[in-house]
Amino acid sequence: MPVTILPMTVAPPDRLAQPGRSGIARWCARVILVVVPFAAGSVSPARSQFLLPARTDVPVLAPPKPLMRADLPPVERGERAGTGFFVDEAGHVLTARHVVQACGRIMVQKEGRTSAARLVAVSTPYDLALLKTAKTRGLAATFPRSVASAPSGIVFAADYMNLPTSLARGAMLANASVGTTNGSDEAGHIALNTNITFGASGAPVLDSRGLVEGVVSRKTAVNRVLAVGASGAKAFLAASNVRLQEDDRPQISGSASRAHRAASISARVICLN
Amino acid sequence: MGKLRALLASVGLITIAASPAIAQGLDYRSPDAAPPAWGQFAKLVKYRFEEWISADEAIANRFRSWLKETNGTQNGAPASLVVKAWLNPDGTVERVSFAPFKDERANTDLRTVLTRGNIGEAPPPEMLQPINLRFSLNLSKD
Repeated sequence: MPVTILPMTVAPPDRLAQPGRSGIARWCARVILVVVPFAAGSVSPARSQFLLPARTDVPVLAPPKPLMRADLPPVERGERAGTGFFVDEAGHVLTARHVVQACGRIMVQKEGRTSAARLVAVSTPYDLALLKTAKTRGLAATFPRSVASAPSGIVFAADYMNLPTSLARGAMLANASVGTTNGSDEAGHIALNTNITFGASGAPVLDSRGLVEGVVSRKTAVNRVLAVGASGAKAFLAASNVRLQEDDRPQISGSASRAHRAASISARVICLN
Repeated sequence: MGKLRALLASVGLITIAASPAIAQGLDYRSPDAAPPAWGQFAKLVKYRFEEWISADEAIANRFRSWLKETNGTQNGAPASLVVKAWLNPDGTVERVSFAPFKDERANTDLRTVLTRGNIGEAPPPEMLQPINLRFSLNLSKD
């Protein structure tokens, strides 16, 4: 911005010598420097003093942005999510059937990577579904060769999305105990005393050896969850020609965190409509 | 992108074996003879190393470019590379060792890539280290 420096104005000498004035006061009295900024050639009309648009100005408005699907909350997008886990080296993921029923698209998400999944098979007697992804991410689960989940055994099962919270707390050995099943409706299942909640459907139930003893299916009461037992899961996988890993030996050391192993084999399963 | 995928797909670890810490040569213990927990952990290390080498970031990209450019030449990487890895109890990689390439920057890049992350699990406390991993570096110029 151009500035104009006006000439200094010097007071008459007789007034400069007046006693009782400080040096600064004298200096101010002697020298008056006035700087007046102005815009060269901007002799402006009255209307320019107001920040108002001229009559001919039309405010430019951005075109309305269409509401994207991603802007909507997951429920309104018709999206639901559960947990699944890899069961072989070929990218097969086992999850709960109700997580992936009637989905337009199925995605599997793990450690920041999302990949499309294809529904390969659903179980009729059990709440199980098999998905196929391009690649196994992390580790494939190992099932017990001989299934024996004794009541009062302690196990670990968690929603994939909550696993980072568990891992942040450090090693976690168990968050559930095996209870007793009731009646023929629950045959082939294991009952868990646990407070795991939404999003855990399809999660693996890991025992102290790091073996999958079940697949989380549904909540039946407060702090009671049913999981499809390993026998049913293995039969379903075998019928789907999945080469699953079976072993009765520990897959983790006795003191190892089952939460960390769960994170290594699990993924988030997302159903898009 | 297709070329990148082909390149990534061709970088892999083909065999894994755990060997005692005192056996520093290529004296592998058969994975079948090791406890399953060791084998599972070694598989996880393999997966992480593959992911880190395949990552779309500057150093990994530069290392893969070097592999591709020098593939089949005297200055290039061997077709098979054995990497020894020492893991900390928290799952981080303490150090890795491998027969050095002729290109010092490639050595540094691979070392950086393989030691930058966390495996995600703690190594079994009784597991002998280092873990020996054999890479198959089958790269083709396209």
